[in-house]
Amino acid sequence: MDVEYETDERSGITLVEAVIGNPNASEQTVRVTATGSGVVLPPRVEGYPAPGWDETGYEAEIGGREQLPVGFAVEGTVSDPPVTVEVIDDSTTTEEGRSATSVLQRLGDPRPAESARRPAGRCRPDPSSRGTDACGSVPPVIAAWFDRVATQLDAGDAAAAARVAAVAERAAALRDRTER
Amino acid sequence: MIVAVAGGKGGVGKSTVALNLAACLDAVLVDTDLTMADLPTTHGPDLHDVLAGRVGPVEAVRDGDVLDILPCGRTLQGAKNTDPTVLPEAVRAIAGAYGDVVLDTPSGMEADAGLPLLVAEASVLVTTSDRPAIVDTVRTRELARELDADLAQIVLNQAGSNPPTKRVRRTFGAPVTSIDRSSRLATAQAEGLPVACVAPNAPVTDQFEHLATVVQSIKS
Repeated sequence: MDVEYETDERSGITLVEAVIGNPNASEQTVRVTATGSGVVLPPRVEGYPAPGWDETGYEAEIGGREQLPVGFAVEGTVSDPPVTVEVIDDSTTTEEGRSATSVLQRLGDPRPAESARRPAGRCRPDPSSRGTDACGSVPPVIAAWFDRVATQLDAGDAAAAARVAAVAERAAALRDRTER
Repeated sequence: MIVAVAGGKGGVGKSTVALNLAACLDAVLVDTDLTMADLPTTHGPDLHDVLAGRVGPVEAVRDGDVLDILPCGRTLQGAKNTDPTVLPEAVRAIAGAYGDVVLDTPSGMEADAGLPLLVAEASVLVTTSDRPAIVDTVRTRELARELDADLAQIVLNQAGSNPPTKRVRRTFGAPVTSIDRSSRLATAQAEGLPVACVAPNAPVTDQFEHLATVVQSIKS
């Protein structure tokens, strides 16, 4: 593995930046270990060591002919070079391990949870409801307004017909967004 | 070639990059977000129908004047009734019939992005310059690497006048293409069009052409 690095010591802490290059065409799993005796301070995500880090170093895969950037801090000083890189023989990943089913088992189901669906056939408009129910039906006061408009439509009111068409279009758009 | 356009954080512009990259590559654009379809669409068969076995993947592709698209469905019920494990086979069938495929991959670092990255041969990861987006994209990169979706390019989207391209390149150890923040790009995306149709001479159009050239080069 090719290794380029920079160090910067400030107030008793040494910042280490390294770039590990894989000269091979195939992917390699490597372990990057900090040299020296100081305590390793790994990068953290939301307070926890970033994935792949432990007390002494970092383990990750490098794609064929790719580069792996590594950054961390050490209490005190480091040796030169500040890291050693060891290629780990990882024979645990197989084609079967990468099948669609195994990916779902490991990462979870991308489909929405059962509770995210509205239960079919259980929505009944409640006239006493002051708000919309799970089906998104309109409150009674709005339903009464619709009734008045429907009466006007029956009487051949063209203006009311246009308003109803516009409201229906808007309701359909809102329902569409709700279902998403 | 099957390319997944992914990124850990929502709102970084993945769908915009995916649409424009597909247009430049003359590839079929597939929206793989089962629960929140990103691409504009009209009525017709969609990815939910394909993954539920109601229609074949090649038949569901909508051939357009500018872009061929397989949109995703827009209902939770439809998403729930799919078999996600069918996605890799469906995408390969489309690639076999049409050639190149670009997968608009959902934001997220695990379940949502796993299957598109599994079937992809290469990945383009989209981020903005703010730290939360970078952190999430680093995690997505780990997943892409694990699933053998070789990283072709990092896209630094919504870039300002002095994009931190060098810093982003060092963070990911990968080449970076900057895409400018552009009102014409936003307008085009709202219409479901590549920016090249709306502003063929705009710098942002050249930037997408460059991105497509780089991605195309990894084919060989």
